[in-house]
Amino acid sequence: MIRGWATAILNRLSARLLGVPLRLKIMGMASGIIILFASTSLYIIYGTLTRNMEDLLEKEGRSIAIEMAHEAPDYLLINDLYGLTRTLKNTVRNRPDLSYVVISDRAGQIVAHTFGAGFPSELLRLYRNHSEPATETSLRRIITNEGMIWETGAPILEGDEGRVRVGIRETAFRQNINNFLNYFIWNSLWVILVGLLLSLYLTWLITRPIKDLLQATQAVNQGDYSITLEQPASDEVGSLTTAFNDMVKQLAQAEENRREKERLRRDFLQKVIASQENERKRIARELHDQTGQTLASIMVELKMLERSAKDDETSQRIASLKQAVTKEIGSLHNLAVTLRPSILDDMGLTPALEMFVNDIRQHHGLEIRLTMVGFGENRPDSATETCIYRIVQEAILNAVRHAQAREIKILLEWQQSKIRGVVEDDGRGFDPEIITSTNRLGLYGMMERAQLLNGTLSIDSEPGQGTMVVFAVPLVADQQ
Amino acid sequence: MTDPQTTTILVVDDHPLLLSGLGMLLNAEADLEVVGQTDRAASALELAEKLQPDIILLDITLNDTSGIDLLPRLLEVSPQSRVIMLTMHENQRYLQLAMHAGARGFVLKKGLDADLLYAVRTVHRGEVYVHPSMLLEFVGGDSGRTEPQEYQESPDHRSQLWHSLSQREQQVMLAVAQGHTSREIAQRYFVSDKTVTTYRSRAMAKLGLASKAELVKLVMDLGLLNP
Ligand SMILES: Nc1ncnc2c1ncn2[C@@H]1O[C@H](COP(=O)(O)OP(=O)(O)O)[C@@H](O)[C@H]1O
Ligand SMILES: [Mg+2]
Repeated sequence: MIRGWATAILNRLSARLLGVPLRLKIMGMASGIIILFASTSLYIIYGTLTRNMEDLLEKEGRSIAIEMAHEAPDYLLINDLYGLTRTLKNTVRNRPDLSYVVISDRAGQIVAHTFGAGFPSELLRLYRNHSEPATETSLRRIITNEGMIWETGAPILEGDEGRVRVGIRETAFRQNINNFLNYFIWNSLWVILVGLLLSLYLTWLITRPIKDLLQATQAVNQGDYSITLEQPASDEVGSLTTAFNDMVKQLAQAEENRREKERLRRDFLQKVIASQENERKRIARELHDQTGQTLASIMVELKMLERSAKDDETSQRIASLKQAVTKEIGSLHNLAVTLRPSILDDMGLTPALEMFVNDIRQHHGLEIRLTMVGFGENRPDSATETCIYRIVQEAILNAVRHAQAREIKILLEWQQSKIRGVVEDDGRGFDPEIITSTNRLGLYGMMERAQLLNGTLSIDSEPGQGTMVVFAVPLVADQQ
Repeated sequence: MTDPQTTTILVVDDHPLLLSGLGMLLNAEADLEVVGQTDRAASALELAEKLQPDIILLDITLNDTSGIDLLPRLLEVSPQSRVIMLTMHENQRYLQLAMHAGARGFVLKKGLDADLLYAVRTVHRGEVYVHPSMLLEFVGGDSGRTEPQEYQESPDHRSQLWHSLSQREQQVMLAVAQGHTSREIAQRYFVSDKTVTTYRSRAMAKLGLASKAELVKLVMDLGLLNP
């Protein structure tokens, strides 16, 4: 139970401390150690000094008291109280710590003392109320307005002739101790200050490379691999810096490799796409210009034959041949257009898309609307035209094939530096995540085409919400 | 010497077989006569100038040039000739360009057999012939969905973009610009919040806008919302 509490508190404390900046931690550590050390020293020294002082006071009191007890009988025997008093006063004068000396007779009557004006009544009361063993030395502390007084009593001639009481002031000793303590505390404060400055410098030494590392890490995060940190020392942070430098070098290498691979991939893909388009163009031309023309001439020949046909049967067969050829020319044309509409090369994106959209409208009977904004007579370069045509084509065909859409809307906008496009259908939608899981190439190809020209393409769709393909292709096909 | 009653024809096509076939087909008609045939632009101009034919049959795709480019030059050297385009391209754009350049007829090669003679005679009479499958769209009966010519006339992209939105989309975008939340809009039109959110983000994408601030600006610039 208690242990649980303790760990909880410890954990909380650790968490707090961990949140504190490193600099504060180190400085706190340094000053903590100094303060701890100084205060224990202070405690020990204070105790020792106080004990010493008390010892000293006791010994001195006793030695003076005994000395006085030795001298006093000489005066007492001849009853020279005046001489006794003078001796006592001399003694007090010679010893600044000494507050007073009092001599009393066997009955406890004060016979001599060093209080000039008159004997303090409190002291008198004290003597009367608290008697001491007559034959032994005694020690007691009395609090007066002069501070603490250590009073030692000693019997004169085994107590037969009375008692000597010597009062010694503590103040001077105390003062000494206090002075010393003051000195010590000030010293400690200075040490703390110096220690703090020192730890400030140390933390700066420690944290500077860490800060550099942090900055460098952020830079690397942003893709700047050109950084190499200088190594300030061979300590742990130094090794970290070395390791960091190595890591950055490797990252840079890896990034370089990745770039190179990506470049090769793009190059390759671009070539594949270009040659595919070229091939399609060639075949479409061939179909149109060769096969198509031949069929057209056959048609003319058939027409001639029909004229000269002798009987009905022949002319009927010719008529059906003509019909077949007509159909064939039509599908040949469609095939060529599907491969690559020559209108795209001859006249550009706008008429090509219009034609495509018209075709779809006629053959699939759905609402399809093409809006092209800002194109006018402008034509982008042919790679961009092909790219956009193919993207729009695929998006429309997808909507036709998969979406069960009632309406398809295509919007293209010619902007200053790019062409922006949207193809939207109101069909059943799908989860665009499938691009990664299916081996279908339509959607994937759209993305690739856009990316190859440094454009962007995104698919916004979900089941039941229709589909929207949004893309943008820069006008200056800046190919890396 | 040709009979003044017969229609003289110059055929320009780059396919030899078709060229000869057409020649025979046309010559077989009593009232028609092919006076020249060629497969190159230069000689076509020469022949036209020399023969001044009534009709010129012109293929759109020639080896050395496009028939559409050649057309005005032919008319220059032989102004009273009437030109009939002959093409594989069943395509409105080509049709428009050809007619714009001064053609009087547009015959598809797939319709050669039935249409050609009729087309030649019609055009010779001074009328215009366009293959029936293309006519409807050409005269605008089926059109109104794509207006290629009108793009340039209206230079304000943003207004066009706005009008490409459906009625409902415009309403929703206006409500958004006015500061209504998706929830309020959803309640107003009795649809789910989700639908409004999708609607809204797609309409924004169509307008090419990234933030509501841009939307408000657009709507105000178009004068649809007072500040
Ligand atoms: N507009 C759309 N509406 C509904 N589903 C679609 C749409 N576009 C694509 N899909 C789905 O994504 C799949 C992958 O499309 P795609 O990569 O073009 O290949 P494909 O068209 O050859 O099937 C399609 O099979 C279809 O399930
Ligand atoms: Mg597809």
